[in-house]
Amino acid sequence: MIEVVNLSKSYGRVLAVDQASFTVPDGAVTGFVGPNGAGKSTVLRAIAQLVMPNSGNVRIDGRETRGLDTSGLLGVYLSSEELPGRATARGVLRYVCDTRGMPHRDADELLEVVGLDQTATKRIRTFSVGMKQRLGLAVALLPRTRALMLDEPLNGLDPDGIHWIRHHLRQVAEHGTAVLLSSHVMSELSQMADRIVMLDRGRVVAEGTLAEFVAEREAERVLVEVSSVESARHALSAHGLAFTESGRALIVSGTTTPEVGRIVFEAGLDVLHLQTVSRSLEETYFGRLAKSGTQA
Amino acid sequence: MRSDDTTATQNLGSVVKAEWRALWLPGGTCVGTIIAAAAAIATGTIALLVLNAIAREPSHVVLSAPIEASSTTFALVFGLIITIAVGRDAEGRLAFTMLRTTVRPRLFAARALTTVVLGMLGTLVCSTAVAGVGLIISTNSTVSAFELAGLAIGVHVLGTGLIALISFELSTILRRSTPAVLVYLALLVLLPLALAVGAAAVPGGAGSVIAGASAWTPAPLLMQAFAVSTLPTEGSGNLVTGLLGLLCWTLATTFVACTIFLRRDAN
Repeated sequence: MIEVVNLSKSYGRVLAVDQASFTVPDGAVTGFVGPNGAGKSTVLRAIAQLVMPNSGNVRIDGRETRGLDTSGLLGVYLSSEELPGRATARGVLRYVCDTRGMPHRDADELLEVVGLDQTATKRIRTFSVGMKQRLGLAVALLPRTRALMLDEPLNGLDPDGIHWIRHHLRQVAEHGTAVLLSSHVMSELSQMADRIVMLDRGRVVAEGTLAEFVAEREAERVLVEVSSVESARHALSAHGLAFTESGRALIVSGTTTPEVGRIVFEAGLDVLHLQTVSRSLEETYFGRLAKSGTQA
Repeated sequence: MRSDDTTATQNLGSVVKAEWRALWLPGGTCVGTIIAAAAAIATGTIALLVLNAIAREPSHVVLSAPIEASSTTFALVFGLIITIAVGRDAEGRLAFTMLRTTVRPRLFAARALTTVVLGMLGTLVCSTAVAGVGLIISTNSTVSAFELAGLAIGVHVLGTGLIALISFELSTILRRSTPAVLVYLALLVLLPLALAVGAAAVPGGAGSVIAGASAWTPAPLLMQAFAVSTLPTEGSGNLVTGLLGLLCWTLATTFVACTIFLRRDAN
């Protein structure tokens, strides 16, 4: 489990992260979202001990990380730019093995798993973005840690690669690993993440399960299709409810599904269709940003 | 099946091993080190041939001076290569290594140690090679010349280790290869030259103070420390002073570099 507790970091006068606290539990994929400049990278780099926070701390499996050897606790992939371009894929993975006293065959086997065994001796700077992402993931997975942290691992991947990562991350999470996954690809994140942590302007503005995150605003939108749109419009207006028309249906905001059902029933209308409109993660995310006045 | 990582641990030894192997992989400093060694052996051999040709009677200088030339060349070129390589790392590979070795003192020690050992090993190979060539072609060297050559190899190995460490620390402090190279060249070439010119231009006591200061810059100290051929005539004072001076530079730069490295944010 990764715990971030009251983490703050400023660069000069710019406060990048402001008292951020959240938890990444074992056995789940936690999506880490937020607009550019929200402070996500700073938080991730602080967890990885690449930047020194001004205050607060990070714990992995209950142990404070500052100055701690976390090479056996946390697998990290932050960016393809971190990979040394002059080195080869095999060289990089064997380096990781050497730092932990692991046999080189582990590196060679993982190269096969990520599909880079044929290009293992080529310099990384000749790799495509997708190949670098696969190698980065291999670097993070190699030490077989109980916590995993990945920053934008889906960037530049083809559908096969995305499918592979989705499958692999689900698998490691099911084996009890705490996975923190930062991504801008909401549609993919909604298929992978169990939990969401949202950061905006350096602060954690939402944290919870994916269902909770999306459902928070769900009650505001109900789709109703009735025998007479005109009568339904009158009935809803009489109750002071806002709505929009969508063909023969109305989408009502600011109330609950049973309440809409009760209003149209009492108005003597035949209800053809009544449902809560589920927001996607993406809609919820942009909705939240719009509410806080932040440009994504 | 991949090994069970619960048995794998990280310690200084494993990180030193990883850093040492990385030096010899593509992207490491192996090519630069080979270039430095080739230049050093060539310089030493040429000096050996010239001194053998002009020496009229047996002398210890015939063997020790070419070794000095070889070691000095290797130390300076290797120092430059380390300055470039470590500075280049700070712009790229360092973040990768910091993510794999989160205990900063461990990473700092491993990187410094591998650099120093590579420098010392390089000098050992170059000076031994030149001494070997000298043994074959030299007709004017004495028995004591070979003893002196043995001493020179030992002292030069130590001195190169110190120069390598100073270069490593400079790049660690400056975090970029270009400014690190400029400072390295300024410190080893421009500063002593400027001070020497200043000492000549300024009359009286001030001039001698500047000349004294010039003698305490790394390049003159390196020359002093490596000048084993002067041992029979001038004693060991210069040699010891040179080594101690370099040691002081090493300690000062290590202190600053270590302080910065342990506290700073990665790029």
